[in-house]
Amino acid sequence: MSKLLLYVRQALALIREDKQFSAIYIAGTAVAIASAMVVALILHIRMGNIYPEVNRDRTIYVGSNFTRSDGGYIGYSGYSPQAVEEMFSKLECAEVVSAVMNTDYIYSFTVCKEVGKQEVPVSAMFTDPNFFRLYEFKFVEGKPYNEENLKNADRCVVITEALARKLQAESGLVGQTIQLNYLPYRVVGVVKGVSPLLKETSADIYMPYTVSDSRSHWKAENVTWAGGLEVRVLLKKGYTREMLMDELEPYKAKYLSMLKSTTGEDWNWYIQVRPHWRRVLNFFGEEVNDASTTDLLANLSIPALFMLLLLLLPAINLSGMVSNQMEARVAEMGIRKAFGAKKRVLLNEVIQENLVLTLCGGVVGYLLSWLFIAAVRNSTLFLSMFGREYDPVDNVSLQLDMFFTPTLFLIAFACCAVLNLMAALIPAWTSLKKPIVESLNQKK
Amino acid sequence: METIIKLTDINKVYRTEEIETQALENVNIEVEKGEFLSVMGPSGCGKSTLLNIMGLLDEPTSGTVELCGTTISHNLSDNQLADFRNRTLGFVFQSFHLISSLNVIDNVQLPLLYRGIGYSERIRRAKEVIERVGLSHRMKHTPVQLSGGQCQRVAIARAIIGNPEIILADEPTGNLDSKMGADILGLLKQLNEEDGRTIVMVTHNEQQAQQTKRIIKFLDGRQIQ
Repeated sequence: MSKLLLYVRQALALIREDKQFSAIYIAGTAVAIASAMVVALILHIRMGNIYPEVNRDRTIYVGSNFTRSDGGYIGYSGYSPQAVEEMFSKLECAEVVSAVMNTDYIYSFTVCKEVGKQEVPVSAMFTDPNFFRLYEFKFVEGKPYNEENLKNADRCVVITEALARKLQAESGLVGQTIQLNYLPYRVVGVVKGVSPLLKETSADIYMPYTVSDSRSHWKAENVTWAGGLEVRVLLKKGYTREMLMDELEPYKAKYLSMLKSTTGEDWNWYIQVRPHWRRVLNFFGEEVNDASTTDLLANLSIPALFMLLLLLLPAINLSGMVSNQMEARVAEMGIRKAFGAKKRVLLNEVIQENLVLTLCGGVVGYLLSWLFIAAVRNSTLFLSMFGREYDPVDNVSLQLDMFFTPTLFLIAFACCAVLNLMAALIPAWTSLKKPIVESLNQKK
Repeated sequence: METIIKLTDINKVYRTEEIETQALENVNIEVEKGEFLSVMGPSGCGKSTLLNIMGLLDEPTSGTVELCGTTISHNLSDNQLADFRNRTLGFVFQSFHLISSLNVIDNVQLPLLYRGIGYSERIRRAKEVIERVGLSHRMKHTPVQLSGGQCQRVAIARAIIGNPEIILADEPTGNLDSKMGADILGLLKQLNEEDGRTIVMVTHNEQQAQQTKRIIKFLDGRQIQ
């Protein structure tokens, strides 16, 4: 520990001694790390466990794809409530199953507390009650709608805190009626808002999918098991996507034969069982039913390479600077060796000194990346990266828990370490290989 | 008396593509424990090369070096040589060779740091030797804030902090005025007489050399006296 303190003190002395070098080093590091962190932040927001999607690593999205055997395609990409009940309600591997109306489509409404009062444009999601179990919503007031509400198509809603504030009723709104597209809906719960960057869960209002104006959105009339509902499964711990696929397999033959008898044609049916990451990360085109683990690594390798490139380019420049600085410190290395320092120890010293500088740059870079995202958070381009194009009632796109996570700290630290190693190790090693006498005689 | 340094048939040749320079030629020297030896000669005669070979900072082209009864062969690894230098040798250089980014106390404790001694013990011993060279009031100063004489005192403190048997001083007064030079020589004599340390000093100064116990002279890489 005391050795480390000595290195830190020397690093700080070096910063003071060569302010220009230190400033350029820290700025270069900061820009490199900020660039890499922006990529990491976007990845984290898309893939990490973030409120209320805190179980993304266990969440599976089940879609459906029919093709005629002659290659033609039918557009049903989801399930009917009947199919949800039949296929998914007794799954061994599922902890929670929820059915949600397709979230690719944005359902826009206007809402006001009473007719004649200020109208607020909102986005809505149509879900079942299990939605609030699968995702861990924090209820600041009230509770979710229940199975009865779903069955009876009750006009009841769960709204966000931000919308409640907008309706000038921060508390006490539960049990009251609000106007949604001029129809009365009863508020049953108020939840902490979800960032609009979280496509699968963010909305201003949540309501039972049976309330939807157009039943065809969630139920196909001619094919009993097909519809507009997407099924989301929270796997029990220890269960895998493949186990879920195995459990669904028996329904395939049954439904295909039913489809043939209805239409008189042969069909292929792919049950798309995709983990969360597959919804947000797909660099290699999409096979109908492909989402294997190796695929995840291949997909992650693209942003990883991009991050490495972002780190490598400044590292090459910094390496040149460190190399020059090491040249100036060759005599010092000679002195240290003369008094018994081993190469390995000196190498550690150089790395640790540079690590202090890199960490300074890392902290600045981390803040820069945050500032950058804060600056662009409402831009169309940024939102489109997360599949969102609407304005939320309240801007909650930057929530602290999205940024202050151990994973991101580890990524930032790893970026610092990689950059440091690339920039400092080679010039330091070259300098340390010089004979002591040559080092001692080196002019500063 | 016990022989602490023994150089046998030492040759050192510097080769470039065009030229070959014989820096040392068949040098044989024995230094007794507790001796204070001066090495004299004109510039380029091989004095510093000799000191570097004695201090394991450079390798001879041929010949053997024996320090404190240990024959230094090519088989010793870099780490073993580093350990040997750390425990047995202390260096004082003409241009001080202090680390400019470290203050006095950090410069002085350097050999103990590489010996793996704990922080509090390092600081205690550093304070002790700094006091001995009369610089207690300058512990937190960096080398640029010190005079040449003070820098050389720091260098001596650094050389003795690890209690080495041998101190090798390469023109320790070369960059100092006569008064400071006399002070530094006095300090080295004190270390020799009071502590019994063996000192080998390279110098141009005949007057200072006369104050040591033995003088050897070099010319063109050969020992002439």
